[in-house]
Amino acid sequence: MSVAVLFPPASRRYIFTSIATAVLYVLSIKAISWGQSQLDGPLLWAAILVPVGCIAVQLWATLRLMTQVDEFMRALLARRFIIAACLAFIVASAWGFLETFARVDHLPGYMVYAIFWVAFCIVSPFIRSTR
Amino acid sequence: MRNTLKVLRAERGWTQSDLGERLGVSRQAVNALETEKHDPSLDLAYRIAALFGLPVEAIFTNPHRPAA
Repeated sequence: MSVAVLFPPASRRYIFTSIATAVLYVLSIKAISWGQSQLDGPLLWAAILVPVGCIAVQLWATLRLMTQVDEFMRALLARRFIIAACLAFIVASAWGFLETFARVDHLPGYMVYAIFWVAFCIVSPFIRSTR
Repeated sequence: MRNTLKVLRAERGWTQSDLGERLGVSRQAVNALETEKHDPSLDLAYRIAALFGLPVEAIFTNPHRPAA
């Protein structure tokens, strides 16, 4: 089976965008952590826009992929996306309550994005039907 | 939704990829239709009917029509 069949152009664009944003996301966080003592005020706020932008672009790429695949794949991706988002909301909310009332360790808010993708990977093998 | 897609495809000697190419959908979509994991949109159902030269209800069982 050829690469073109396994990975149609829309999927290739999605994979490329996802890898590029993931690499930039990690590098930008490393850079911000490393330069935190030098960065201050508006410069620090501007630097934080880089990983935030990576998240926004990656989400946009996912939503764009949904518009470019066939109706079965679109429905499948949408179901997985919605259920993963629900799980991420539940986990983040539960952890927030635990932080407030049970004094568990603080979980940075940005971790909700990672939780969402972990949830997406967990639910995907179980959601194979659009019915 | 129950359908005769697999039989119609086999009669023509097409693979799932062949049929997907003719319909403009992925092989996975054809497989999902054949295994009743996806109910087609009206547009796709009409495309399938046009490809096989049959009415939609000759391919997909209408679950809302009372049995004769």
